[in-house]
Amino acid sequence: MRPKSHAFRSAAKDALADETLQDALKLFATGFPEKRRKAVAALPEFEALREAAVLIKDHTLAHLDRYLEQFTDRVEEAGGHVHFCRTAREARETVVAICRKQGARTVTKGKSMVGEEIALNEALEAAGITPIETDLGEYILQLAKEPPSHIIGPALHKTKDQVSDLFLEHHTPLGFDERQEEGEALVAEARQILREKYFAADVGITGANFLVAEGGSAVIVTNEGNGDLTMTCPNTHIVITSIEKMVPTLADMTVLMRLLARSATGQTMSVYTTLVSGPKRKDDLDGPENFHVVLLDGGRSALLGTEQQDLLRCIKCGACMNHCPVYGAVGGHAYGWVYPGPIGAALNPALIGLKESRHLPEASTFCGACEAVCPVKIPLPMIFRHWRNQAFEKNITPFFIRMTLKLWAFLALRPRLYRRFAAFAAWGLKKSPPPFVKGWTDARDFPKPEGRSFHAQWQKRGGS
Amino acid sequence: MTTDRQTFLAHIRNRISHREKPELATPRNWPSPAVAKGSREERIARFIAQSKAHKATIEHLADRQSVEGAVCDYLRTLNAPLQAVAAPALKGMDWTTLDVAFCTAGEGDRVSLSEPAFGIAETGTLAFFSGPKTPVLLNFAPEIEIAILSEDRIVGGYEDIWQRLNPAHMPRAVNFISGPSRTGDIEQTMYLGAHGPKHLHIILTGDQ
Ligand code: SF4
Repeated sequence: MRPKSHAFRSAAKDALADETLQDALKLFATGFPEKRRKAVAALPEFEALREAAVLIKDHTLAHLDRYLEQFTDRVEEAGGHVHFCRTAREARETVVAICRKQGARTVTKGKSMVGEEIALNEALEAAGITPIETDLGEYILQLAKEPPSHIIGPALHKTKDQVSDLFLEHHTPLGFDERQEEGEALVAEARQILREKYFAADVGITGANFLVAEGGSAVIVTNEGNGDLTMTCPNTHIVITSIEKMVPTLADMTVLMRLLARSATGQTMSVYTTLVSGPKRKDDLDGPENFHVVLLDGGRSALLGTEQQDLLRCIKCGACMNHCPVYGAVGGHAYGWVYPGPIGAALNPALIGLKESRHLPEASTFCGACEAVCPVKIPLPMIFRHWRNQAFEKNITPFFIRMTLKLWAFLALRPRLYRRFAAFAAWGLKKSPPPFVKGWTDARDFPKPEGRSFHAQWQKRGGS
Repeated sequence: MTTDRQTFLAHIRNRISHREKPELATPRNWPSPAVAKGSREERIARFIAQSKAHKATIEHLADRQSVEGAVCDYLRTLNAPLQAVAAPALKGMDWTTLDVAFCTAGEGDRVSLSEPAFGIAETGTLAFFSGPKTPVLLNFAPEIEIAILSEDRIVGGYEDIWQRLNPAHMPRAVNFISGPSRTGDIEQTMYLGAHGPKHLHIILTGDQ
């Protein structure tokens, strides 16, 4: 997906004015947080599991080479293949090459954020291969030609009405020419259409939620069962995923699994959690003959050994965006790249560069809700602050903001001057609202300064 | 096109070389939910309650003799044909009324009979290990899945499952299934039967 994060400001403005989107977001704000709260309350061990998850991820990242190696050995012993890709381009080319080798014409796809990250569908289409999204949300978006707006519910910005229109438009040529308005009927129609695709596809591509080194296993979690049909029916299964999904053992994976669904949707478990370890065995009655794991670095290794390494603990549960007031106001598309919400604001600068994404770490009220709900305790606000500093140091912050900040720093280091300036500013603000902040005052009232300054009062009461 | 394994790993090694390297104890004694450790009766009761919470239906029979009758009765309530594809693992049971084929499921099969390796009380989850007698698609292709599980296969938590697997020789697929297929992708409303089975019926049998 080509990043559009530089346009965050205008995209956010459009999102706020988009009534259909605002309706969809309203629904959203009341759903997930309450479900998560209940699920967490029902598991007294939740906090202890979070602590364990942090230990597990930190350990794994510190020994990532070792676990990548163990994982690869296991997959190869089972008859599968692991492909190492430093860049999105390498990953795209690898997947296309495997599909070509199979003579693939259609591939079914489970939901994969890494797939979005490397713009896999476009690459497949360019190679003359038809990708078919099978997750209902992703399928809707493929028809609408839109990117996902949420990492768990990719089409949550779409209303039922819009889905009805899309299905009517795209399914009429397939013989479904009645506009369905009930959710149940829409789901049934998609089920019927996708059913034959699973069995006709030459290759199935899925993501992975976790990789387990000791088992050589990819763990795939869905509620719909589309991931399992995608990986089991075709002759070839490709897992496209990234290096930080690794955990050492099945016991370690269990800790993360117990946190994932509760944090994401408030379920105790998603309906389907599948550990797949290699291709079909000799006497098996089903399963793919070929099994490939395509492992993407894509800028992640640059975070290893830095202060921002904690980002690689992320299990992509979506809780941070579900609880984020900024995401709740503008939705996911405004962020302009695959990962929206707080995790996107913290991670995207590392993956697509700060120049493209400098607005994202600014899109925070610093309320801290994201860090409070994150199952792996990523200090997201601290990372926003890091990127803001970086943007300033690297001269990415625009001239006007830099100058204002510099002026403030100049004054703040000179107390007498500062006091005089503050008194002047307070006098001015009593007369009229401050200049240059219309964007802010349009939506809120700027409080008028009252009485004497804190500083003056402090001195009067005998402070020093 | 890809980076070769040694170069890739060397790059990672290089990145992490100057970090402290926290070690983890083996075996890992991570906190596990209290509800994952119960007596046999508690496990069975929790398994049943949690399965229902996931919208599976469940029927508790005293023994395996009455399974076929229960399967047929259940299919009649759904107006489904008395015809099913079944796990070869179930060959040993008596099937006379029901038309059963022992194979994996294909595109047109409506009903499957499956045999989970275990039931997990903690979350009301069925655990399937793929193999020649337990094909995977029985759990995904049909619209109606009937899983036949005996009481003494109900374990407390996921730890009990790992104890029974050798990580160096995993089955091709381990499937954990908690209720029938569903989606929340349209306006966050839940609809059953997205791609996998719309109905998951568990027949739990006693010891005899
Ligand atoms: S940052 Fe934390 S809360 Fe956000 S998606 Fe990742 S794991 Fe979930």
